[in-house]
Amino acid sequence: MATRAKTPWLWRAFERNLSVVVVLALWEITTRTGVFNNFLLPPLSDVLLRGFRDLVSGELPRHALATAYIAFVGFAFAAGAGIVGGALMSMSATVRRIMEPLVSVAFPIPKISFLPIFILWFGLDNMPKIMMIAFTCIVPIISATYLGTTTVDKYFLWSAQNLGTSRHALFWKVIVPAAAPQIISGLQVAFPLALIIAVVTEMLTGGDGLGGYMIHAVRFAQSDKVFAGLLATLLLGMFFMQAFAMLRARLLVWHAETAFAGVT
Amino acid sequence: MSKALRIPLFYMPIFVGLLLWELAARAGLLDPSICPSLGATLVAVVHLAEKGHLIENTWISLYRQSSGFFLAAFFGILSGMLMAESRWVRNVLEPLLRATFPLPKSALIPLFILWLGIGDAAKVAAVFLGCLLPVVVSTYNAARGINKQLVWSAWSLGTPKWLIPWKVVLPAALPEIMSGLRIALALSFTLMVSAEFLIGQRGLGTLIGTLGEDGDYPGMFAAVLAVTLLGFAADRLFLWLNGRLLRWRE
Repeated sequence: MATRAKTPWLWRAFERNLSVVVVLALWEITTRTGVFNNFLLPPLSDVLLRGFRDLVSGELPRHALATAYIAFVGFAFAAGAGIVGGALMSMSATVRRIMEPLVSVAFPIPKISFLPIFILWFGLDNMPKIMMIAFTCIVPIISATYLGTTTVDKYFLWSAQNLGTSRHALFWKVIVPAAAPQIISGLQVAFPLALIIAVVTEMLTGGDGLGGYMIHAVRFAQSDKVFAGLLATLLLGMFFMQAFAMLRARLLVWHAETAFAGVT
Repeated sequence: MSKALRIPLFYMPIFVGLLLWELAARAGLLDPSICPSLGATLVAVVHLAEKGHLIENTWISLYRQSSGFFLAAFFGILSGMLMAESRWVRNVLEPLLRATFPLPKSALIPLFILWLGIGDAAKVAAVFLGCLLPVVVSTYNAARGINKQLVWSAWSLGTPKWLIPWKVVLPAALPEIMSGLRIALALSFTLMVSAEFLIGQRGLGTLIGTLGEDGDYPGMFAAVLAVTLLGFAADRLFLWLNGRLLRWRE
């Protein structure tokens, strides 16, 4: 029985991702047989080889770490300020009246257009990138926290109040945990934005980072490096997405929700 | 309170913020070399509009953004629906979707420079592919999550099977599809500006970049303001359309 249960695991993984395997195989075959120009689409094996070389030489890890660093710091800043801001909005009518129009205007505007202004104000180092990421990520976090904390089940509140919970404790011990699934969903929406903005800012300002690595490769017509950079960026995105899903399952272990299973 | 008064009152904090900006600049609290006043920015808007730069570049940017967005909306809804309705399509597309979803879409811009050069095509492609996946995912989830009784009722009332996705599933899934489209709309402006920052050749993003390089900061602020207003106006137009399209609900 044990062996029967073991073999299908790999087979099932293969079967579940059959179309990805087919696309990758087609990529390799068409480029090797000359259907596609090898400059525009380098063979998969060349891309992997280039990726491996840059991995061993330490170039890719350095760039990936730089991207992960600015994305994470900007995101953490947005998460802290956004959760507090959203919570304040649901606690105080004055704060709500001030913040609601700001959030509703900030949601649809392309915040990336402020980047040249941020560069002007904060210089060319990591600072404008981190501020840009924080500015972009804070909006969905504020609105998720606000919505989450205002729609808490009334029975929770009444029960806690009945048992003599203070206003302060009510907020932090009842409302925030009850809103946690929605707050974490907001964080899960915001983090991909952090990576999108991180990559764009790196492309624009140069320096370390996967965005800089790829744009540099395009300027020097090293197409295998462009693809290696794309692959590394994809892996970074997958890593963070997985980490968030695990964190969510860990934090909401007490909650009745079925763990959010990624995309589908 | 009358409706005419409610909207300006809602946005009051923004007007107060703009007023504070102007007052701070007048009081000399802001360094005019890196932060022009609101007045100077508005003068620069008029100036840019008179010279024709602003209007022309706005049309170019809007053309790129809307081509990418509408292509993504069309193909996204189509493939999301097909995925929900056909097991075969689902088996092919779902693994691909899962494998590409975590990629931050802006990372594709260098690839499009490589493939499509620096013209309009690269920017439209960046907007299109960036918006595509959110639309596919929201359509697919919406179409799978509809109340199955609607389908059964339509079926038992004699609706032909091939009409059901179009007449029953799509309308039932529309609210969720529309919220996916709204996210994609905001993303389309972000990608449009990013692509124009990176790949020169006209457009509002490029205009912001060149004005900044020339040290014309009031002009740069004016162009940023224009992009901001454009994104905001598109979103409000979308919300209005959404309200009209979904009027049959309740």
